Amino acid sequence: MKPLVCFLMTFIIFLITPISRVQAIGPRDVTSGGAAVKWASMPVTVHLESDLTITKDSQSRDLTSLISAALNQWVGLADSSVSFTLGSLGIAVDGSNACDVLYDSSKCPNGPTNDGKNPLVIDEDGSIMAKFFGAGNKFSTLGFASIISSNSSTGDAVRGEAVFNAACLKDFMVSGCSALGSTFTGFTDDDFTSFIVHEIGHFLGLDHSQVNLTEATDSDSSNDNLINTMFPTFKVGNGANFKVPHRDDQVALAQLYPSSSFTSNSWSMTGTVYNTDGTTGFQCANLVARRTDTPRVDAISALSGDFAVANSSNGTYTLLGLASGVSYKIDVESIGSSFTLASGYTPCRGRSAGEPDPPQFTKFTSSGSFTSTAGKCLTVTCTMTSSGGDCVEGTGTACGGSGGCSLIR
Amino acid sequence: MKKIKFLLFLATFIFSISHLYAFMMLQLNLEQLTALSERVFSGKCISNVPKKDEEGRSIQEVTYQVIEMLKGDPVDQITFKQLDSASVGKKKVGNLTLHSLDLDLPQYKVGEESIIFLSADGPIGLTAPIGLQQGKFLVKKSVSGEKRVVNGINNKGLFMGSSKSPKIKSMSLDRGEKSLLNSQSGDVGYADFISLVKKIATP
Repeated sequence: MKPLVCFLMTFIIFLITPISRVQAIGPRDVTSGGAAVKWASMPVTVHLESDLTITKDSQSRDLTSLISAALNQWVGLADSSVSFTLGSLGIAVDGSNACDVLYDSSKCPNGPTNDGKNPLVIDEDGSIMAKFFGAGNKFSTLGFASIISSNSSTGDAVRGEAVFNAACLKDFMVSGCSALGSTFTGFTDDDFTSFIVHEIGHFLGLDHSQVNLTEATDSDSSNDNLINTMFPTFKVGNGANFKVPHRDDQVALAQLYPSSSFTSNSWSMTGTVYNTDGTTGFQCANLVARRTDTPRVDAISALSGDFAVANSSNGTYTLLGLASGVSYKIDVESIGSSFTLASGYTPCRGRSAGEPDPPQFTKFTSSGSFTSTAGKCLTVTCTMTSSGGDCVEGTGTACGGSGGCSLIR
Repeated sequence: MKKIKFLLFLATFIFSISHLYAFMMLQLNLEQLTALSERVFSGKCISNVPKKDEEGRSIQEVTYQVIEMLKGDPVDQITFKQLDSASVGKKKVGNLTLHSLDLDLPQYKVGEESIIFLSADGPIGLTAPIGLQQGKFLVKKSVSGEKRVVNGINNKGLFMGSSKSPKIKSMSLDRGEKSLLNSQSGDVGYADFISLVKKIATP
């Protein structure tokens, strides 16, 4: 009888649990009700502009294959279910007609927001960037991508768009790219593809994430393979590594678009990060679950309170996609202080974005490690102290509610 | 072979990190900022007028009283038009939420002193500092009263690879200017910065 009661309680809890409780690595944006802004169904059709060919002297090159390769990095990942259909925009886009197909409240305030198109544009000569930011900035602005309209209630994406600047692509550099340095020979295919992969991550609704800040910001190129794809900065020359989604990126995608087996094949940790008073939730702490045997490679992150509105002292988090029977320790750390605004992490992208700056505090690692098996969940509470803090497994409280129902533990 | 290895090292070192945003921007060093700028000047912002252009964009028309031109022909005042991303953002229209790209465009306060690395105008007359936040340096005073300068990304990467740059290596630098080249991030001295920019800007 008891399992049945537990099942019913679990079901009721599921029904009344607000969407904001389903937290993990984080979407780029959420509705006021806490729903992630993302595509409601697959495949997503991206509409390619009609001219994806770049030319220089007597050479020409069609970049469709690079775009397909970049999209395919997100397709077919085991834990998620994402697919694209390539459609046609029907026109060639450049600086002169960019606002006929693109929307942005700053650049193209009268552009289309709900026309059934999701344009994907190659800015062959940088003319789109030059139009909005001046001629010299066509060499420094590499592109943008975003869901640009969504249903206010459900968060379902209605329209997305992406523009990639190919002005300084290797062998096809336009005049002026040499100002980037006498040794700069242009972006390689791997680098250019990796830009697209990262930006398509945003197009799908992913936020930035940080698992290996040390390796991402040091000058040692031998460890650049540990920089995850949705990290906010990129080292030129690291495209071959960067373009392939890492474990953290894969789980971020699975959070928004889980495969049918994602939840049953992995386990999760959920809980709250508390401030030093032990009762106030701490928002925007970056939690990284590190596999104890391969801590730098198998690392999965979550930002506390990332499905809640900014400044809400919401410290709840969920770390998803943990391998069955494997032990993890948790690092609790700050987001890099320079990552604000567009390179920031929702909901702490800085005051200019109407959000607080990413809070800075002393990093700590859980004294113990945590493990469970596929389909289950641990509740782990992290509390800060003046000199660091610790994370401990909860007792008698199961994930998703109270009562300790073993069905959901 | 040795030369190729050196050039590869140089390419990686000088040109190593770019920012990837929902809006994606390359991180530039001082030499790149200077080379891509049409005009570089220090000055005081004397007006910032919000306007709408013919296509409904929110823009700001910014005027600086020039203190010193570091690159470009000398003038007393410079006025330029930049998109005003701060005045617009996410908004609701019917049941749709319209999102805004997080443009890292600099903002300007009347009365503030800055050093601006300004791009040439684009085809519709809009421009911005090179590298957006990277090309606007706020002039501020330290507790000791010394003038210091810092850009919108805390001068991160500003001197990356500079000590290996053939152009900078060929220049005669004084002690203060040389010390800048070792700076990783954070504000730097105004006078040394100005003199270094002028030397870099000299063809």
